[in-house]
Amino acid sequence: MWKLRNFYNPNIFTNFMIAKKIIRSVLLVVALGSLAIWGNREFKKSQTYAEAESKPAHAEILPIVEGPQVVMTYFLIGTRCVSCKKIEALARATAEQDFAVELAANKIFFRVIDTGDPANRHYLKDYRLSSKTVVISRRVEGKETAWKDMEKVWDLLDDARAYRDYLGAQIKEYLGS
Amino acid sequence: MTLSVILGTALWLGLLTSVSPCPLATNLAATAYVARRLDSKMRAIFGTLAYTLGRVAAYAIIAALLAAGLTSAPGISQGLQRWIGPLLGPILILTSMVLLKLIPLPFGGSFTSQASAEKWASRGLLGEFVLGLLFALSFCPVSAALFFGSLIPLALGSGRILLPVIGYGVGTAAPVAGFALVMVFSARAASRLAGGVMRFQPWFLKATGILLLIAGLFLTAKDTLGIVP
Repeated sequence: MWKLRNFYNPNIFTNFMIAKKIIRSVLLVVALGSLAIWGNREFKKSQTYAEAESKPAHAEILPIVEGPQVVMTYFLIGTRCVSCKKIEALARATAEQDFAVELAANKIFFRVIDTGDPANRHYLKDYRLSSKTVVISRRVEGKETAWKDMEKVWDLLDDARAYRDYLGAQIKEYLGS
Repeated sequence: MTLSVILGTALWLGLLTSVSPCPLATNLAATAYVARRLDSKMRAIFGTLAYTLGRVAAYAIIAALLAAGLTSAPGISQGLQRWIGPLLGPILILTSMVLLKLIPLPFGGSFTSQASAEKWASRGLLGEFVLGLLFALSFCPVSAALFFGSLIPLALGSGRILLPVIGYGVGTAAPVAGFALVMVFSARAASRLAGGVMRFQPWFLKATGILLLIAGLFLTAKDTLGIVP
């Protein structure tokens, strides 16, 4: 039976020291172990990247239409975040709601590319990407003739209308409409 | 563009970076760390200045490297996001263990003297400076986009590279510095009523350690191990 005098038991101090040692060991294992796991993962990743970079990039398969075509790409880089999901959702809404007719006719193409995939690493160099962003490009007969990094998407994130107008203006310019 | 417009824009970009949800965990950890010492008002003020200076130094180094053409914006942005972010969580766990006295201060014989290292650390200046530097270097998507996409073109275009960078650094540190000072001054006032600052100081340090530990575990799970989306 638990008695009040147990509170004054000198063993409690010893137990406290043991608990402290256990907590210290667990936290050290978590901190150093996670670093080791991450380091190992990065090492493997860098080998895969080096292998992917030595191979030529795949040819993109996009539907070819007559006249200019606009490709809007949301590029994923690094960790995901709340703002990043919003950027993707607003870009998608611009294509699907503001350019529904052009989208159905394949005049506009919306896609999401994860640059974490070794096969997509070349996009980082191709478009000089420093963070997640939307790139709008103009294609004629399947060949890219112009592109723009829509870097202001980060500034306009909290104003959906301004954000969609910003992307919309560039799409219209490239479509020549 | 006039000097005041450049500085104002840089400050605004810095504020925009710090209030976005992306650096929330690091900002909370920084606020708790900067506000951990209740015993001196001057220590709190110098601590916030050291934290701000750490951030400004990090951004200034990157801007200098870019201006000198030693690296490219995409290259350094991708590199920092890939290498620094995942290190933050484990570093915060180790820092919290020092605050909770689970491990001793990590200064061995390599430092000029153990006493001077502890003196610096206890004044909170070295810790705050390093924390500011490290948190500024751990670019998340928002800070990378605003710094490399908006601030660097503004700084390079204006011909005055250092000034916008200082403005941006101050802007990113301002909410943390402001909240930390409010916390210190209100906690001092509250603890005076309840029996004295020194009585509450150990508890405040423990609370800071626990908060840093939570932030560290979260960042380790999210950025180091990738098990939290």
